[in-house]
Amino acid sequence: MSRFVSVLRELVADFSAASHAAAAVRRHQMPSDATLRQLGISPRDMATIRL
Amino acid sequence: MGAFDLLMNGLVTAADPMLLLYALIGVTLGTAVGVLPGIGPALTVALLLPVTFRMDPAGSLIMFAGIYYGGMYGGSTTSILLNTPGESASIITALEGNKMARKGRGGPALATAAIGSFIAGLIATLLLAFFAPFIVKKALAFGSPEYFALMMLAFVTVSAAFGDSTLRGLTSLFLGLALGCIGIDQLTGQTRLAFGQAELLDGIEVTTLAVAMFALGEALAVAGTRNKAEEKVEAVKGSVWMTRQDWARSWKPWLRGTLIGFPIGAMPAGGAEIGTFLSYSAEKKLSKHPEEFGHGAIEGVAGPEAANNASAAGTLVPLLTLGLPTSATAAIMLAGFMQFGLQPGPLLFATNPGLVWSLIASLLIANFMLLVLNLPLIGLWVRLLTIPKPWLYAGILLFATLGTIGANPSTFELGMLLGFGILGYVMRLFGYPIAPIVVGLILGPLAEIHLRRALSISQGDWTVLFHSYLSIGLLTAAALALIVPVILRARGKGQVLSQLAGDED
Repeated sequence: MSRFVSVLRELVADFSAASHAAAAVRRHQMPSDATLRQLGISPRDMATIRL
Repeated sequence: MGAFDLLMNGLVTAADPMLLLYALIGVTLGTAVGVLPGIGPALTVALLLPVTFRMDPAGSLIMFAGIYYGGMYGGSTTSILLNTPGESASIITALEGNKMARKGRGGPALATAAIGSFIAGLIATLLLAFFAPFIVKKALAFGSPEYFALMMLAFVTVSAAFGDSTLRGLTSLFLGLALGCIGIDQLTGQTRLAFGQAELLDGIEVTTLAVAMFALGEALAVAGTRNKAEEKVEAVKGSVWMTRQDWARSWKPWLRGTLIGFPIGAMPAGGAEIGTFLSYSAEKKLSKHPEEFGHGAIEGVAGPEAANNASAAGTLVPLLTLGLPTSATAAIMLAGFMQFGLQPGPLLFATNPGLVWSLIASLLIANFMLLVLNLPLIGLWVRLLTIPKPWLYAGILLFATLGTIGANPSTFELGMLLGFGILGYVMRLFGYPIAPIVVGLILGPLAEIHLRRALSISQGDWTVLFHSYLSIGLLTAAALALIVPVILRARGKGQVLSQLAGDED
């Protein structure tokens, strides 16, 4: 049960991070470092992309 | 008749040479705008709205859908070869794709993106054909209270739930709702907010607002903010084809990307970008080579590219079955339907099944066209990047203006186009989303009609809005979508969610 809750929490956190990252890139802005790290993306790599 | 038979009938209709030509024009234009950074499918469809209103509705809508699909395909090319995404949905592709190109593996990166897009588009279109009849069957039983509740949910999710600021989203929505009130009240015949202007009696033209906001506003904003740094295109070295190992590492991400992208595209305000971020995250967690991520992992290209194409088909599920746009491009496509006097939704499946099913079937054909167009012609698409940007933006402004005047030759309409274009630019400048204003203008009058019809039937009793479990469920979901993000931002401590929510505001 605790494993299920932890997976669910991770999914919700990933979804929330993805929606915030999506909102930022739509405005041609960099998502925050915390958002990127939650999604397994290196902020340094992301900074190289011309948004 | 089952979904399969309807789809087969649609394929026969869509095989008409003229419709095939429309599909080919759509996917070619879509790929071109996908390749060009700063120009997206929403802008292109908006530009074409005024020039297609006298054309065949089926052909025009097939062309619009082709542009949407093509845009998702083309966006990956610049992401991989230039590290500049053609579309915001292709940003994640650049992370691994450009690294692959720098290592001389640009060919396999482009191939896995194109084949993944093809497979995702194919599966997602079949899922659309499979799910649409079920949703239509349920939606045919909707009464005015359910429709009103559904539109409330659409308003909240498009403007407030997943955006970066609830207040800005709602402001944009209410602007659209206010614009939707202009004209003659359809129930009483009273004039509203026309200020004595005869041109406003018919209300604001959705096409004019869409062209102004998405074409003029976007072109001005992009021209004003484009990075002027020199762009270096990575040459495609070696074979374009994928190795056996590339295939083995790509097929699972393609399928996972499709399964992630399709439902997210169908969600109100989901958008293709969310699916790509989630797909990248999932692939990194599931990969046998997580150490390669950040250095050119093929899974990081395959999954997100499949997700963004599946999302495009997912977007069409609520648009065609319920008349609900869940993204900016879908909002423009809804305007496209309405310029032909067609209201997407369950009744369209009943009254005009030929058009709907030929549109769905044409998406399958468009997918094959895109696969053929994309990989062998990669050199041609890259050449598009040499077009000087000022020419491009000036062309958009000119085409938008001429199209609007051609469709509605009046100085007043031209003034509105320019006024709304500047409003669109200013809104972008201050971070206000554009889609809610168009959705408010399109769906606002419909929501008003359903609300007033429900209240007329119940003789003014407001509880009619809560008379069925479905409308209660939809209104509760709308209330939660409005309140939960605000609470999470307000708490601002202890949880990842609130921290992330706060980060972006």
